[in-house]
Amino acid sequence: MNELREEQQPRYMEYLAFLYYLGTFFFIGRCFPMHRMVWFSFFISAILAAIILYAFYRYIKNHEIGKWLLLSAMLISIFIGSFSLYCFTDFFHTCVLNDTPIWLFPSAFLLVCAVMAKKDIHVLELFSRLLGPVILFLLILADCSSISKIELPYTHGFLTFDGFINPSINAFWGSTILFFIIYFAEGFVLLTLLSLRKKSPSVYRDTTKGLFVSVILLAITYLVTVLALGPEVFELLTYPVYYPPGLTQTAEYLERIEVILLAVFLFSEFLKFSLLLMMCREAVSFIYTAFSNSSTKETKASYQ
Amino acid sequence: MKKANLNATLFLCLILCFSMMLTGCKSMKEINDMSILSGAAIDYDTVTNRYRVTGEIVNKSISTASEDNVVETIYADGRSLAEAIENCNEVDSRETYWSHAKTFVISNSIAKNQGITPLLDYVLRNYKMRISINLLVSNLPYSSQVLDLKTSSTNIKFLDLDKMLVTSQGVATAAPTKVYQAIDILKSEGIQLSIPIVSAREDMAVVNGTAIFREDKLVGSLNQEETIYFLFLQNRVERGNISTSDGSITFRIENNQTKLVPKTEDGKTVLQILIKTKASVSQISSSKKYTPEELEIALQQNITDGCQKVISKMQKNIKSDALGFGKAIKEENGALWDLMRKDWDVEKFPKLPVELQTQVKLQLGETH
Repeated sequence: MNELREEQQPRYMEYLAFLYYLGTFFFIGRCFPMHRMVWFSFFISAILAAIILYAFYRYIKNHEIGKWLLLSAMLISIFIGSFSLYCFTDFFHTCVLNDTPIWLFPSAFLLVCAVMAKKDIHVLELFSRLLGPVILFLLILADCSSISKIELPYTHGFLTFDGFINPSINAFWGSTILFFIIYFAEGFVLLTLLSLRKKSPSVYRDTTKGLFVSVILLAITYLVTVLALGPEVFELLTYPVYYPPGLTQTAEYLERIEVILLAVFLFSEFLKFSLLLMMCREAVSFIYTAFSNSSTKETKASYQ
Repeated sequence: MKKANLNATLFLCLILCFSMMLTGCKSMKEINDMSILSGAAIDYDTVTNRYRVTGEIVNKSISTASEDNVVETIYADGRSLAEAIENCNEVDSRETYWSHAKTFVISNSIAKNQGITPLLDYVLRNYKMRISINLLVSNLPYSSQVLDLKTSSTNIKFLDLDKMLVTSQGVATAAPTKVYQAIDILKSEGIQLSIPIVSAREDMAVVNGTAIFREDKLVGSLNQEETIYFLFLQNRVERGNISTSDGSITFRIENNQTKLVPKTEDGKTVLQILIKTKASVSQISSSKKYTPEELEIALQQNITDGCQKVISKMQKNIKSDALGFGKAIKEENGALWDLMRKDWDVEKFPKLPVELQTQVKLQLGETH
C-alpha cells in the first residue's frame, strides 16, 4: 500500500512545469504588442510571481484544498485556456495552416487534450520527462541558429537608456504586470493540481525550477530575435520568435528551420491544455462529490 | 461497454482530425500544382497608373518546358502592388508560390516616385512572402528587362542575383539589404535606406552601385567605386580590394572597424570617424620600390580621400544620412539628438562637421 502511495507522488515536476510555463508566451503578441524589452519583462514578472506563489503554496500546504479554491482554479484554467487557445489558433491559421478552416485545428487539438486529461497525471509527467529534454534541445538549436543572424549594429547602443530602453519603458511596465498575472494564474493552477495529489515538499521547489528554466530560454529566444530582426521590425511583427530561424542558411542543410519551433509550440501547448483540462475535471469531480454527499445526508435526515 | 465505445469514438475522431491536418489531405497541394517563383521585377506604368509585376517561375509546366530555357516568365498588373501580385494567379493556371522568392527588383521610377513602402508593407503583411527577400533597384528603363540579361550560373535570374549579392558583400562591392532590414531602417531615426543597384554591362546583369533613399524615396546613387568607401563608413567591409588612383598599387582589405563618435566642444558638435583597417598588398604594378611606411600612407590617403568624397557627396548633393551619422549621435548622446533630430537630413546633416581619422596596419611579405 505504501509502495502504491509512493508511486502516486508527483514526479518529474520540473519537466512538467518547464513545458507548462513555456507555451503561452510565444503567442502573447496576438493580444499584447511586442516591445524590445520584452525579454527583461519575463525575468521581473517570473521573480514576482515566484514570491507570491510561495506564499500561496504555504497556504495550501497548511490548509485543506476546499471547493472555493478548486472553483477558482477551474475558472482560472478556463480563462487561461481560452486565452491561450485563441492566440495559438490565430498563430497556426496565420503562419502555418492558412488554407485549413480556422475551427478545425482548435477542435482537433482540444479533443486530443481532452483524451489526455482523462488519463492520470502520471501519463503527463512521463510525457514531459520524455519530451522535456527534446524541446529544450530544439529550442537551444533554434536559438543557436538565430545567433548567427544577429546584426552587430543592433547590439551597439544596446541597453543604453535613450537608444533602447526609453522608447519602450511604458510598454515594459505594462508587459511586466501582464506577464506577472499570467505566471501567477498559471502557477496557481499548477500548484493546486499537484498539491491535490499529495503535499510533497518538493512541489514548489521543482515547479519553480521549471518556471525559471522556461523563463531563461524564453528571454534568450526573445533577445536573440530582437537583435536579429532589429527592434523596429520586432515590434511590428505579431509572432516575431517564429522568424529568425527562418533566416538561417547553414551549409544547405540547416535552412529555414523555423519548422522545429512548431514542435516546441505544439508540445508545450498540448501539455498546458491537458493540465488545464485536468484541473477542470478535478474541480468538477470534487464539487460533484461534495454536492452528492450533502444531498445524500439530507435524504437520510429526511427519512429519519 | 459504453466506456469502451466512447474511447473508440474519441480515438476515431482523433485519427480523423490528425490525418486531415498532418497529412495535408484537407488542403492538399502537389508541387505540380504550384508555380514556384524565384523573384519578381516591379514596374509602374505611368500611362495607365498601374503596377506591373513580372515574375520568374522556376518549375515550368510540361507544355512549356524546353531544354534551352529552364524558366518561364509571367506578368500581371493591378491598381496596387498587392493587386498586381495577386493577379499573377490569373495568368498561370497553377497557384503562385512566393515562399521561395529570393529577390525583388524595383524600377528606378517606382523608387523615385511611388517609394518602396508599398512593397515592404505587402511583404510584411503577407505571410506567404519571406521577410528575408533581397531588394535591388534597377538602373534599366524597366526593371523587367533584368530578365532579358544573362546571368552566369544557373540562368534563373533572381536566384543568380541573390548569389551575386552574397558574393558582392564578400568583396565589398555591394551591401545587400533584405526586406526586414529595410523596414528597420525606415522605422529608425538618424539613418536612411540604401539598396544595391542592378544594371547591364553589355548583355550581362551586374550588381554595381548603391541607391540612396530619403524616407522611402530614391534621391541619389553612388557608383561602384564610391560604394566601397560608403561601406567603409557604414562598417560593412568584410574583405575587398582598393587600388590607388593611378592603379599602381592594389591593396587587399583583410579587416576593418569603423567607429562613429560624436563630440561636442564649445557648443559645436563634430562627428569623429575612426577607421582602423588591416590590409595586405595585392599587387604592385610599377617597378618603383616602396617602403612599408610609403605603402601605409598610400592606402591611408586613399581611404581618407575616398571616404571624404562620399561624405561630401552625401552631405551636399544627395542630402540623405544613409551613413547613419544621426543614429550614432542618438545612441551616444540622446539629449543632443533631441536638439538635432528636426530636419536632420536636409538641414543639420549637410552642415555637420566631420573629422576623419584612418589607421592602417599593413601586413607585408605575403608572396608565395
